[in-house]
Amino acid sequence: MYRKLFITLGCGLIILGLFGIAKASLMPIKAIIGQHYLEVAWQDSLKNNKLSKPWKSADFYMIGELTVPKLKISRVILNSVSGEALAWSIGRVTNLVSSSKNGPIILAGHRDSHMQFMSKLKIGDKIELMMTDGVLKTYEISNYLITDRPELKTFSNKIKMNSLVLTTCWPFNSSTIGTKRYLLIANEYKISLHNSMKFNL
Amino acid sequence: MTAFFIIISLSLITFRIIKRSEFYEHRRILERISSPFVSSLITLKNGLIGLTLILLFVISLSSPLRAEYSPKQPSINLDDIESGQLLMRAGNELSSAILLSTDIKIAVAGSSSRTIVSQRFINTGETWAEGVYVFPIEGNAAVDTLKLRIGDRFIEGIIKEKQEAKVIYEEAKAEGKKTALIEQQKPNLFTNKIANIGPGEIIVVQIEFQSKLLPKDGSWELRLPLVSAPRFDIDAIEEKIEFGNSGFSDQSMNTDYNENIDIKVLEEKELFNPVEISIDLNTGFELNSLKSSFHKVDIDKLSNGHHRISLLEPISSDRDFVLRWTAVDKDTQTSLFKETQAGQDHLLLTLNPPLTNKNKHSPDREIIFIQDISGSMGGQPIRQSKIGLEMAIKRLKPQDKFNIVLFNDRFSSYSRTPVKATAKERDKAIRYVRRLQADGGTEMYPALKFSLMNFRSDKSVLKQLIFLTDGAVTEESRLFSLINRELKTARLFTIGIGSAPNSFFMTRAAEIGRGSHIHIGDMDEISNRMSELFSKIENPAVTDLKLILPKGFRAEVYPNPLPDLYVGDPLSIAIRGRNASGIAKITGKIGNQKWVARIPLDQGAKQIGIAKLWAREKISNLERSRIVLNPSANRKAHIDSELLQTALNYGLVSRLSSMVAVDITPSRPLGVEIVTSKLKAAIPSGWDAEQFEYTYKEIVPPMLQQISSRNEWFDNGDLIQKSEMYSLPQTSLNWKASIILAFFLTLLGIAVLFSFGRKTNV
Repeated sequence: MYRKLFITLGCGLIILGLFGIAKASLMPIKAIIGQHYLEVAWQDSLKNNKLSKPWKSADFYMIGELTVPKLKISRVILNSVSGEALAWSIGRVTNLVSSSKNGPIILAGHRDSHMQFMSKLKIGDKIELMMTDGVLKTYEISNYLITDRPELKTFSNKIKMNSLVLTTCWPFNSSTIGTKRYLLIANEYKISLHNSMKFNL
Repeated sequence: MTAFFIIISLSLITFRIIKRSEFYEHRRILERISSPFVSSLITLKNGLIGLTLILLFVISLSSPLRAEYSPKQPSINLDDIESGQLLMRAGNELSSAILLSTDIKIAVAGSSSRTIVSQRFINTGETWAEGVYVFPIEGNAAVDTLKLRIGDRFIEGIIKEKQEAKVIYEEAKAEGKKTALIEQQKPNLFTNKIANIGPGEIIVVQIEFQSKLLPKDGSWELRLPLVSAPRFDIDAIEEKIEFGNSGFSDQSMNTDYNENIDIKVLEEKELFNPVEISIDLNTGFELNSLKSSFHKVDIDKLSNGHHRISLLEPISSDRDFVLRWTAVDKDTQTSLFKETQAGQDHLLLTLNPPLTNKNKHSPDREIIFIQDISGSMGGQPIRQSKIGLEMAIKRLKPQDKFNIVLFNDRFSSYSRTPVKATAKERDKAIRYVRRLQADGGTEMYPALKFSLMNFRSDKSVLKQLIFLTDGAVTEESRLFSLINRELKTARLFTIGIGSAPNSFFMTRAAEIGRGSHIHIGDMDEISNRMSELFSKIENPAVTDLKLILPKGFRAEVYPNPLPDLYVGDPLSIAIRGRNASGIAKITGKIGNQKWVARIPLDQGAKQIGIAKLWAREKISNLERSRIVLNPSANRKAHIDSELLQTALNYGLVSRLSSMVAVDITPSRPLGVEIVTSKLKAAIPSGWDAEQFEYTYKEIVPPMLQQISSRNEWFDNGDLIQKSEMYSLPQTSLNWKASIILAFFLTLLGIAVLFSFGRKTNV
């Protein structure tokens, strides 16, 4: 009697499920494919020595690259932390109070895609960072911090003006979206000019 | 090998699909044919794409992608340069060697302000250095004075044609002389370079500028952008990063300014620039309120209309200083000031529209909302602007017509042509707005073009465009000429959201569009500020404004043509002519009613600086016509020469003129004897002795002082903390959980099929 109804229901559930799987798996695919393209585009923009968008209609620019030599991981840094930008890569968090570019470099990324590697980093690990100025800076992780609120207002003594801060949601394997953030604080360790970087002097 | 290429090309295709298969597109189709059949088809299509992608995902995991892909490089604007940076290099070593303090004195008198910025540069390095200071000035400021103290020398800058000034500066620099140069990089951005600062040497630089103050909604605001920090550049290395030639396309209107983008800012090393501010506020009328938005200030009331404001403590130059005040009497917003210079009378007239007629008669309108729904609008901006749009639609009257145009990297509209805002249509539009989602990139030209050509009503109807975006603008001049060409009788209002929008473009677009611009920095304020704008433009107080001068008085009047006058948004008119007397008439229309204001030109208070403001107004008017009218090369040259002449006559820094100061004798290496003689130097009369005086502590070269001195002067952790505030974004996709959930859904479906779908013979 209800057979037809149940068949429809079953088919519907399967289709819905498959669609859901497809949609969810788009996220990491976007993250991985996007990272490849960003990498190529970033190298290109370094070669041409100018700021550029990865593709024409993008709402963000590539402003640098982060490398973790220990894990052989590199991420292109975008100038935005909008949902759209973070779907493709990691972004720099800007100061809310002023438009000054001084202060620590704070980078945010998704805990289950681009910033997943943060769970594997320890105090003492080295991170390399190159921004558009072409200066390769090496940072050493000196501290970590877990905050309850997404606002970062005053700094403890741990974060300095020239620190590099990586941040992502905490805890890593949780499936709930909370307000907790995990912060890794790295301080400058070494500064050198990137060898491959040629200024048009 | 072949397989490899297939993978690459497939990836390329999927990449396009991911980018293009935006929900936006589907929604559009769904709205047209809202049958469940179509939507299930789309779901199926999505599912198929997803499955293909899963396959590709697995493949791409096993073989890393190495595609030879050259992305398109769009042109960029100065606003977009994320980290303007100045490097100090000696070989491969990087070092920072700068200390500096800033003192700002502002005198507000009537409707204009004079700002004096004094700065101390101290080269703590061991090499000769060149300092570059970048300073943004809001509004239309007239930079006219440069004073320098280097050692016991006092130098005053003179205005020269830009190239000429540059040559003078470069020559003096090469000869080892002290020299300074102020240039305008963009209409609101100036740079000051000081060459040949010896090791341990101190330089005091003073810049002065005049700017206009206009009340908005009855309140005045003084804003000091303090964000650009001064940096040093070692003079031995001529560094030039060519953002200019490559980064700026030919279309970009900033091409004239791009030659100086070699300003690179040194990464800050626990250093900040302490700023002291004191303001002499002589409004001439009684104040209702007076407050500083972000900093603690000390207010000293001298009389009812005269206050002295100073900072309680030096602040770091990380946050803008904002001072706001309102008048007790609302009528004081209309004023007339004048100054006579070189036989010419200069007048600055500030007009406020008549409040009494506000609700008498509001005209029929045809209004088009252009809404940015690109991905960057996601979250709070789109939520808030949806509320704003909804309110705007609710406010429409049945006889009004409206349309909504949406854009990301493509665009669509609510209806083909504007529709009457009947109750039914309004409800439908509100539902349409509520469904909006932010997604995709930004491409504004086609949407703007469509909207400008979308008006259908005749002349008697008020036509308004509301353009809301948070995106950076890449093809300014193309958009300007489009607006100018297609605007006709319509008015364009621009709303910029967040920190990204190119507010120079947005302001100018509104000017060309003869409307107004608002910038909303605080995401939580978007809907409120939007509704403020909407209620304001419902009643354009006075349209078709014309200034009729008395007979026999010939004058140059700016802005030209006069824009519309709105309640709470006064208009200032700059006039220059010989022997201003008689009564000028300003005529306009309020709805269909005529409006006339009579202004006795021989009255009005005398005030210094009005002439410079007039010149600045003329210059920006010339700049505007140069961009907008897209004139021939001949005409362009004509405009340029007129601009240069005005700038030189009034001694202003502009796109074509710079201010240069040169010491006549080459400076010598620094010795203790010369240092001590600095104390005795006589400061020229008329110069602010307090600013140009050295203290003993300052003249001892820093390397001779204890190293800790640097911290003593400038290290103040508190100040750094106050100016830092970050909001860490939500960073979890939770795709794993979604996959698991979806997987269980599928399992459940299969279970249902198996347990109930089989034929049972009961």
